[in-house]
Amino acid sequence: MSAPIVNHFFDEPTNTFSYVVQDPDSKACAVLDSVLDFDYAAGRTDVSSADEIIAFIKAEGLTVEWILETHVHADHLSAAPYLHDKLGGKTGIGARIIEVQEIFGKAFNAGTEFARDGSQFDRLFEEGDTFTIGNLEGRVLHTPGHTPACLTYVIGDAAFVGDTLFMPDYGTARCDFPGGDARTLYRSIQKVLALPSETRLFLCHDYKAPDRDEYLHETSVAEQRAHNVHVHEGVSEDAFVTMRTERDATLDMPKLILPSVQVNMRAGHMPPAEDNGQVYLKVPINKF
Amino acid sequence: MKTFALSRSTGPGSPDVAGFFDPRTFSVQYVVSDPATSKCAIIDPVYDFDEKSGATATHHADELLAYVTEQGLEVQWILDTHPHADHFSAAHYLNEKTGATTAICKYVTDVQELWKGIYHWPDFPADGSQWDRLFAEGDTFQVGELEASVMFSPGHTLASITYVIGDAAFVHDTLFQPDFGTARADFPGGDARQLWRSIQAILALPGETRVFTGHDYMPDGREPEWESTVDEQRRYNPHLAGVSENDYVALRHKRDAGLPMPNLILHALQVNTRGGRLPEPEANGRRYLKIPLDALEGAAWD
Repeated sequence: MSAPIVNHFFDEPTNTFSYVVQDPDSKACAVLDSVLDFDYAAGRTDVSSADEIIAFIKAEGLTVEWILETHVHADHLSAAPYLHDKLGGKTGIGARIIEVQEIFGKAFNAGTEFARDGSQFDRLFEEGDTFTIGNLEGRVLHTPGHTPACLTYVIGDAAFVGDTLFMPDYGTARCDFPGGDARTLYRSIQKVLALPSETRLFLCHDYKAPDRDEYLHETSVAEQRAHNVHVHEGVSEDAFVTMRTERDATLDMPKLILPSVQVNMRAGHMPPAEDNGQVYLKVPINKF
Repeated sequence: MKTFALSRSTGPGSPDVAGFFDPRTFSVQYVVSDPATSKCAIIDPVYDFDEKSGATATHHADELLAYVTEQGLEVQWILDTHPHADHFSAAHYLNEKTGATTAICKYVTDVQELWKGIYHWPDFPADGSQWDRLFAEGDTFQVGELEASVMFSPGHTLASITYVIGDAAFVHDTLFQPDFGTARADFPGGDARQLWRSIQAILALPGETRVFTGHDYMPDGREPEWESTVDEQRRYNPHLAGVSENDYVALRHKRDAGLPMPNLILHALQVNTRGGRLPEPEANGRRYLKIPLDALEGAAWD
């Protein structure tokens, strides 16, 4: 099995890893889960993080074939439209995004111009779909639970698991957002853990962990099976659901959930400007 | 953590001042009462808001009402010192509960005009009609039999006022505790030189005047405090003692350039320019705040 070259980019304010996944035999690459910088207090956006990715891609002379999202993120804004403008490539996300668009389109009372059909993306992936990055073969696992539309992209010997598994010493993703479900997440994780044990797993987030003071982004199926504090081998589905549900009840909403989902449900595009030319995000009161 | 303290009347004409601290926004709310008549004013009440989830609550406002009931007080006034940028005002909520008179500075209309543009509210009446009374420099009023007067204290905002009630001055965002300093002057409509002059007018009050501030940020992890005296401020405030006007302006500019915007400024102004009312619901019955993107220039990146 071919092994892609994987470079990671870390955004510390949102604890997010973005990736450039490169075919070792060509200059083709994909960008996964990019971040648009956002200062909520001042209502200000910035492209420093995305520009780092662009600089890397230009320095390496890569061609972007795909700009992929593992899901509609609730903790950062996607830079996909900006990267698409600068670098080209096709955008992709899970086909079940239409459910997420339905939920949040309603919550934000988006206008009729907001299509709830996933048409903001070039491609909507289903379980088992394949795609290529140069000569690399990519395959899609539908891994819902954190959100209904979550995907894992398996590219060569690497799997980009989004918000399913975190580092073994940290555990798993929360399941309490609209459309999330702990039992579903457990089953999705079993799919990931059924990949060959040497599969490299690349995470979407890391928050450090007790007794660990550095950020890590990569682990393996074997390590997760043996050591993941929430779902190592031997943890039953029911035990996981109980643990996850109890833990989720103690978690605060992510700081950027309200700005993030209304932008990310639009594939990273801002809502349309009002007739003064100014763009506004919306904060629904007492909805979440 | 200390979140309540009562500063007792110092004699005839002097109010009891109950301070209530909100650790979430570092704000201090006051119930200022006349011991002779049991009439009171509420100053700068907080309407709770969680910006992560968009949830509102009235825990703090209800705590004020509980105190009013326990003490057998009657609320005569609901006063704001300025349109706040760091918390939502509970003035409207408390007005609905008590029927007391709401008031703010008359220049709130300038603040309304400014934010009406930022929020794009073409039909918004920027005329102060959201309050019962608009105060200007030198205006007087009574809380029970206590004499109260208004000082116009711009600088932090262009509509900041200080309420002097008996021997107590409610200075909100001008002076903070003498171990901390003064308020920032870099919001839209703010001005460091004006703030200096407003502060000098406060420091010209009698030295024993009790000074009640609007925020405390607990420097070095000390317990929250909110009361000092004019004399203590003159002697110990690190931004003022031995500092000239020009030095102060330079210090303030330098310090403000490093401060990120307060978490709630874009959320709060659209509620507080409406007297503490949430925006009108959309057709689906739900209310939404608006966050203008890239409309505020010059703030340090958070």
